[in-house]
Amino acid sequence: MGRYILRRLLGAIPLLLGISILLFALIHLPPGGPADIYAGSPTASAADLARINENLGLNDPLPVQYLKWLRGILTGDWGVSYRDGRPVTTAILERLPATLQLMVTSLVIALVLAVPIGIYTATRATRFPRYVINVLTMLGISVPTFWTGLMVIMFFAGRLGWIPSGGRGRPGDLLDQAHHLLAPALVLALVSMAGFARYIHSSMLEVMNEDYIRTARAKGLPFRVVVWRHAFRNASIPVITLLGLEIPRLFSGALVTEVVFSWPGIGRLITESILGRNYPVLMGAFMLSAFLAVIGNLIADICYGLVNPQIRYDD
Amino acid sequence: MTTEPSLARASVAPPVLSEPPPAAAGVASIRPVGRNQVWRRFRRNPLALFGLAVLTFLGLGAIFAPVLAPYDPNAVNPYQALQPPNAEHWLGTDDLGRDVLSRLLFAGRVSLLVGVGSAAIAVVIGTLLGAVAGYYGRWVDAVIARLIDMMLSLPVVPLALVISAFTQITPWRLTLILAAVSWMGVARLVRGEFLELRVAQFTEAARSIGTPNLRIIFVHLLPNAVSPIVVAATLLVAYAILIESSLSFLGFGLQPPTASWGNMLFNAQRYLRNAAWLAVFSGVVITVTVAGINFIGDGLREAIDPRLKDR
Repeated sequence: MGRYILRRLLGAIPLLLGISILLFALIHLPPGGPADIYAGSPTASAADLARINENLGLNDPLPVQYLKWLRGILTGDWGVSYRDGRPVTTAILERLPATLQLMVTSLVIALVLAVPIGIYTATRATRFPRYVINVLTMLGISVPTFWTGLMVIMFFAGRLGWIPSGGRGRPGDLLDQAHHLLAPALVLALVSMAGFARYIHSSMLEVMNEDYIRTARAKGLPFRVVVWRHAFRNASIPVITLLGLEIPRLFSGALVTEVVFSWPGIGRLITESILGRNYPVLMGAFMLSAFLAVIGNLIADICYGLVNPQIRYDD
Repeated sequence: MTTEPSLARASVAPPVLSEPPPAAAGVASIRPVGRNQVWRRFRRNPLALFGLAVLTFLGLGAIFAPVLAPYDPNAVNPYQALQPPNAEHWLGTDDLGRDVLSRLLFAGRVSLLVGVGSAAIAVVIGTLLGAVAGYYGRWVDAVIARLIDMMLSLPVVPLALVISAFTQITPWRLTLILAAVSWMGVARLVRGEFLELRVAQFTEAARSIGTPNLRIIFVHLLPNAVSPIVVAATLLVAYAILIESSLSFLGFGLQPPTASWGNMLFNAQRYLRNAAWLAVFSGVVITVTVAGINFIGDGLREAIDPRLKDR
């Protein structure tokens, strides 16, 4: 197992390197640049614009720019934000906790709700509730996150005034922060929850038809024990893989949720950095999310092996 | 089991969104199913039929928008701004006095076309890359599999957001961008299928009589993988429509005056307090469309592989 983890960690290096090249190209190749925002200004001459580009090192060939960036990121220098001249690491680190809090909370909410729902529909539910839940979870994965957010704000913040319409709450006041976190976390959790529930449902259905489940039932084990200990443990194996892929998806949802609820996280940082083409901040934010995704995938693969005794990592 | 679970599970990985796994063995597709049989099973699924009906309805609405729309979707009329739904304007008017119903109909053209178009392109890209990777194996597979892994590690919405914000966005470019960030699911799926098909006996037979590789890929193997691709393609349309609406909602999708369901919501969020209908209607239309397509996809999957059906 130790060797497997080490090998996967080593394998993550070329993967992240590839991602960084891909990202660098996608972000830098489109025409235009950070100086564009001054282009319309009457006081900025063409020479000024050229000087801005020169100072930012944007006149170098792209591969040179990339190598400079890569050397920086490896030595802990992620560059400087074009907007306020602060280090990118500072700009990202001050936003990271908010995003992680939002993502982790909604992931937990999604799992806590999805597991019983998926198991219920695959085992005890009769036709009608199963049908209703099928329709509801399908709606859940079909509704755009930003719209759920807008509706929640309109109704619960506007009409009823139960929740604040945005922000993170007063620092230090845990209750107030939880109050602010509740709505965005639930909104973000909805899509994942519905997806997980559907996935667990079909995974459980498949397992419940296995011979060993019939054996367990036949030897008189209580239904509850069979469902949780025999069926769910096996059904959860593909779900773990899904969890590994969930991080980038949650990141996408988080961006939209953060914008709707004025949540000061990485997603908002990305939308703020689009205007003015804040290349270093964008690169940093995307690399961080890719890094989290790669690590998440690795953890999922390791858990996959821990849960599934059929897999031996050391040959 | 192999030592590389990230590759081994590619064949049982979900195509797109959070769809249930194909059969654990991952060979669901090799069993041929008659087309009539599929339709007969599909027909018995009320939700799938409902999805089909909704989509037909919206599709017809989009196609015949110029005939059906009661008003010019871009006609500004400040005297009638922000009217709630009434007899003259069934779904009310927006901040510039434009008729919401007319705009929804015309927006449907753009949103559906972009959704279907980008899904089609994504399926072509995904199928080609997946087939080549699965069939040739070795370094070709290694390169493509890594590319898939890389793209899957990036968050789709922020990525599409940045690319479209940095480009002069047109419907066609938006379609390409959406395709570029959503082909990976199909590629993984097709790759998994081809990894199994390439060692099938009929493949060996074809190869032994000297059939060219490309002919084997497209004539002999691809038809065996069509069913899961069709299901994945359907779900991709739903996915693309969702992403398009997110981008437009954030203000970086299609630019006004072109109406899309997403950018109508972008406008609507400023009037949540006094003109709630603006935000409600376009959101409902997006949700119903996406759900309709998802129901069709689900129905197709169950019709193609009845073992997955709710028992």
